[in-house]
This record gives sequence, structure tokens and C-alpha cells, in this order.
Amino acid sequence: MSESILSVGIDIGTTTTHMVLSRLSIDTISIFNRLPENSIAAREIVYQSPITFTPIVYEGENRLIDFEKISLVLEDFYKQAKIDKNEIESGALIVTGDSARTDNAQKVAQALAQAAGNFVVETAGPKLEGILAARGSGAVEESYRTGKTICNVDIGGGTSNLAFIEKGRIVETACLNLGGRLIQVEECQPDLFNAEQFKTVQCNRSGRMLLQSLGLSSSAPLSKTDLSKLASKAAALIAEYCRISIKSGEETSLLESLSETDVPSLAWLEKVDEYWFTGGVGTLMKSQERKDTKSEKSSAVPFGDLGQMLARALLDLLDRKRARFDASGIYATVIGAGLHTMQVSGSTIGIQSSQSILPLRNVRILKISAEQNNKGYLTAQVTKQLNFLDQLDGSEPLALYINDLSRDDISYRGIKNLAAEISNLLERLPKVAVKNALVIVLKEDIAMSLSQILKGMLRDKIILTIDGIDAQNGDFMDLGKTLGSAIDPNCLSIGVVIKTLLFYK
Amino acid sequence: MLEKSKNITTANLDYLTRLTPARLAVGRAGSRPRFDTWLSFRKDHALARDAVLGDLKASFIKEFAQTYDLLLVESQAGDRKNFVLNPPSGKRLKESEVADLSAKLGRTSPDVQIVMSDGLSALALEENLPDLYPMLLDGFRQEGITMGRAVIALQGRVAIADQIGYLSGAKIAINLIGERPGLSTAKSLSAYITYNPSPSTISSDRTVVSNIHQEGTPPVEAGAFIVRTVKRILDLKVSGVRLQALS
Repeated sequence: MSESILSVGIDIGTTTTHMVLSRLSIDTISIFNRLPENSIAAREIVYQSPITFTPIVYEGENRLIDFEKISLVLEDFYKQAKIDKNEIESGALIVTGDSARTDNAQKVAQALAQAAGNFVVETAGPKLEGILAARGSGAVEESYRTGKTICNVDIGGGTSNLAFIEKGRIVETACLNLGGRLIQVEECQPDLFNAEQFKTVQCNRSGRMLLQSLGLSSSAPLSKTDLSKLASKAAALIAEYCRISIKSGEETSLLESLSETDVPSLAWLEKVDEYWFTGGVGTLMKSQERKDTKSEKSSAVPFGDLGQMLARALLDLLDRKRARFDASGIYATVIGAGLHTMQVSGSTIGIQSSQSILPLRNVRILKISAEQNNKGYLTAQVTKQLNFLDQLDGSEPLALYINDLSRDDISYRGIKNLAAEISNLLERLPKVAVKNALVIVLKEDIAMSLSQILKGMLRDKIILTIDGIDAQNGDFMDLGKTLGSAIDPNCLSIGVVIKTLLFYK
Repeated sequence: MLEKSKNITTANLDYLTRLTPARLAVGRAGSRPRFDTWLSFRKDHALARDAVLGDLKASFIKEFAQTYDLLLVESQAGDRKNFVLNPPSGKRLKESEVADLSAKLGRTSPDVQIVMSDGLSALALEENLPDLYPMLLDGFRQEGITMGRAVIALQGRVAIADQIGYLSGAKIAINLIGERPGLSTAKSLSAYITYNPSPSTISSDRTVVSNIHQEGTPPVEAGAFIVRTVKRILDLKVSGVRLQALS
């Protein structure tokens, strides 16, 4: 027997916004000789929205996402999909690129996620964008399956998000503040020789920096050659950032100032087998690649931005044999958000009395490193991280993600010790148990045993223990409904979404 | 996922071999296995044979039985060799021990009668019981489930627990027994759980939790799971295939 979950992905990008609805089938797999396990067996896209421009308004100095307009856009998508929002049980809304830099990004994200359906989470973060795009494009799966080292490059309007993948594991992510919309122009009066000229409508920080490095300015009209130079410069910087090639070391300081994250390691220069291009500019690269004839050396300026020119310039820099333009294209991030944000926990977890507290949203994750020989380590580490606790709204419990458990810890004595650490923590810092509840997250398959021991020690507390979850890359988590009780009601899992909420500075 | 890859490449094989501890893509030297492949096969096979032929260590029996106040009995097999050659002999208690065990257990009619049998891997008991057994004790105590005095049955097979459970009048018999070793692990343990155990119990009456070892379901986690399963069986008053049919 299997059950399915309708999941939504929404990406509000610098230039465009889109939505994908997908159905995730959860299967209870009972392998001969093993306890039944629940997992996502299939992901099927049931609706893909058209690409729509992200409505941006300016209020004086402030750049804002037009909340009313974008709400209408999303409503319209749901209508087209013929889906009742109440059917949606999972998913993520991500605000990416320059849109995450708008002054109301966080508020809009929160409000839209709540309106998007039950249990849709809002997320943001330059690292997360790269991860979602790489999952959505299928690069992660391809690398896992073939062992290739792949770099997924998602180039949108405001940012280029990279994920370097080795054997199916995302090893490094990076975000460069360069995209197709670093400048927006419109045609103006031709110059004396009747050549086309463009005046700048909008130019972001990166655009200004690049113009400056070329000795140009956004206040004077720009020629087509100027724009083309700008695109070539941006392309060269992106190629260097991706470690496709390093022409000169001169750009290092410029790259550093344009990078939202650390600049990718130079080691990738030798290691990457394939570059996958996704995002709006990736899609333009793909379509140009197809009609790659001399007839149309496309230097047009559609959409009033540099997207097309940047795509052209990047193609010229590439070793085509190593480049791949995935079918997901501009949808890579949103597919990643809709299909790949949910993890299914192990099937033996501790939820007995606490079932009533589910679902939980925005549970802050504290990462703990187990120290076998240091009694009281848990209390010590939590205390260290507690500074921000005053700012917690105290409405949702905290989650402790226990890392670095050794083989010796997966024993009766080891789990007793861990339970003692938790009990000690709750005694010394009772406020850690918000509303008397606490969530313990583990990778190792010991949640049910930890739960049993804790139940004997702390009768008045609700302690939710879940395993089989990797929360390393998250700051917050949402815990959904319980899944897959088909074979044995004791084999329950929870749908978990790990998220980050780092809006750009 | 696999049908997508049309040809098996070295990289593909690397992926496939990561999915399983089975001996995939081990190569060959001419018409024979490669030297290291052959050695590792011999080693794992030897471990499996040792597990089947080895007796439960006297030191383990002494310490474990003392710590948890266990009774020690033998099946009709008498010794390891006869146990392996005449499997049915492991299903029943040695005649001369029945009366004595019966007296020691008393007709206390507990909820649960635990039996620990070496089965086909004494090593599995030695490896897993120290973590599994105390989890069961804790869990049953917490849930108010009563236990008869537990028994170690040497040269025992699965059915011996049903006979022992019948003697004590237990509602449920649990046999924690060493599984037949394979070439991946020789340390795997199973728990066979029977409601209303008796000499007439048949295989379909038993619920099993298997693959208990560090690389499978960790023994501590299995302990907690068995407690839940026992609770469910006590509530529904049925085990085995009929229990599965109820869910």
C-alpha cells in the first residue's frame, strides 16, 4: 500500500516567478528480513506554471516585492492547475537572487507560504539555492548513479548558484552576485552615426561594479558594443568562479567582492567532469546552442536585460563537451523546492504521547557534537548556543541535532548516557523544553530506543525523537504528519523539511 | 532508476556496489576469482562455519546468566555436531530436564517468557544480547508487562521457546535466536514472538523481528521495537500471519 502527498514548489526569483506541483508517493517497503521502511518511491510533476515576471515596486529607496500582485499570480497558477490549496500537504517557497534582497522579502515569503497551502515552508539562502537547483536538475542523481563529478550552475537574473557534486554528495555550494539582470536597459535615441543606444533603467551593485571596471557609467547612454563587453566580462567572471578555466588572477579581488559565499576551491579546476547549466540564463544558453549558426550571432536585448548576451558569451567560453543543458532549465530550483525538500524519517521513531504536538513549524535546530568522554557536554554546548534564546518566540519547541555518535554510542550504555545528558540538560535549563516539549534529531537508527529510555526518566516531558534525518545544512525544521503505517502501526515515519532562512544582506 | 542507464560503466558499477554488501563486480583472473576476492570469500565462509559450529562461550554464559539470573537448559540434540546433523532434535527439551525446568519456572503464567537460543550462530547471542536484553527488561517493566525467569537453551531451534513458554503458562514466548550466517554477517539475531505458545505452534503463528545486528537494525533499537510489538500482540491477542492481516 502506498500513500501520496501533493507537494508544491514556488520560486520567486530576481526576474521570474514560477510554480511546480508534484505528487510524491510514499511507499512502505518491507524487504525480506528487515523492518518495514517508509520512503519516497516516486516523484511526478503534475503541473508546471508558465514563467511569469516577478512584480517589483519601488517605494523611494526601497525595492519591494509587490505582495498583492504576486498573490494574484499564485492564485492564478492554482486555478490553472485545478488544485484546491487545501490538498497540498508539503512543499517549499523559496525567494531567490535579488528578490531575496528586497526589503520585504522575509515578510512576503512567510505570508505567501502560509497562503500557499498547509505545511508549505518558506526558505531562503544562497547555499540552499544551489542545492535545490542541483537536486531539481537531476545532477545529484546523475552523479550518484554514475560517479561523475558535476558542477550545477544555476544562472538567474541576480545570482549564479553553484553546487559541486561528487558521487551524489553536494560537497560545496557557492553564490556569485552576477546574473542576466545586472543591468536593465531600454532603447533610446540613436547616436550621431545612427547606431543603437541604450539608457540604463536599473542597475544593481554588481552591474555598477562591472561597468566601472570597464570604464563605463550607467548615467551615460550605452552602445550595443558596451553591453556586449559587459556581458563578456560577466561571462568571464562566472566561468572563472565556476573553475571552468582561469584566465588570469587579476579578477580574484573582483570575484571576492561579488561573491555572496566563499569563492569555490581551486581544486575543482581539475576535478569537474561536467558542468550543468540551469536557470533563466541556462535555458537561453540551451536554446542558443540549438540554433547555433552564424546567421544569428544573437546580440539582441530581449527582456531589456543582458540574459541573452550573457548566454551567448558563456557559450563562447565553454568546452561544449563538458557542458550540459538540462531539460529542467529555468525550473531547476523550483523543481528542487517542490520535489526534494522533504525527507522521510526512519520507521522506528519515538512519537508515542507527543503525536498531538504535530505538525510543528519553524523549529530551531541546535547542532550538538556528541562527546563520549565528557559528561555534561550537552548542557555545555546548548548553554553556549543559548545567547539567542531570549529572542525565541517560545511558541515552537527546539530541536537538538545530535552529531558524531560513535559506534560505541549505539549501545545500551551509550543510549543511556545520551538520555542522561538530555535529562541533565532539562534539569539545568528547563526553558529548553518549550511548552514542556523537545525534539531530538539523529542520523543513526536509535530513535525508538532513546525514546523508551527517556520515557522511563522524564515522565512529564514530551520528547519527540526522530532518526534517519540529516539536518547538517539546516537552521530550522518543520515536522509534518506521520506517514506509512500500512504494515505495522509501530513502523511510523514523519515527513521532515530542513530549511535555512538566510535572506541576503 | 537503473533502467535509465543503458550500459554498465565502471562508474555505474561503483554505484551498484555501494548499494549492497554482496559481492558485486569483484572481477576475475582468467577463469578464476582474483586472489583478494578468493581470500575474502574464504575468510567470510570460515566465519560463517565457525558461527554455525561454535558453542556459546562458557565465560559468556556464566557472566550473562549470573547478571540476569537466567536458567540454563539443553535441547535433545546434546551436542553441536548432532544439532547440525539432526535439526529436529533442537526443537524439544532434553527429556530429563523438562521436570526440573518446569519446577524452576513454576506455573507463574507471566505475560512474556524469554528464551535465548544459540540456533545457528552462538556468536549472534554474544554480540547482541548485552544491548538487546536490558532494553527488553526496561521496556517490559515500564509497560507493566510481567516476565517469567528467562532461559538460555543450548542447541536450540525456534520451536523450543514455544515448549518452554507452554511450561510456564506464558501468554507470549520470545525466542532470541542466532540466525543462519551468510557471507555478509555471521552475527545476525532474530526474535520469534508467539502468542499462546504450545507444542502445537506452527511457523505462521510466529511474528519475527530479524536482521538484528550492528549493520542491520541495531540491537538497542530492536529491543524497543520488540517491546512495542509485544504490547500490540498482548492487546490484539494474536501473533504471526494473523497479526499482519489485522493491520
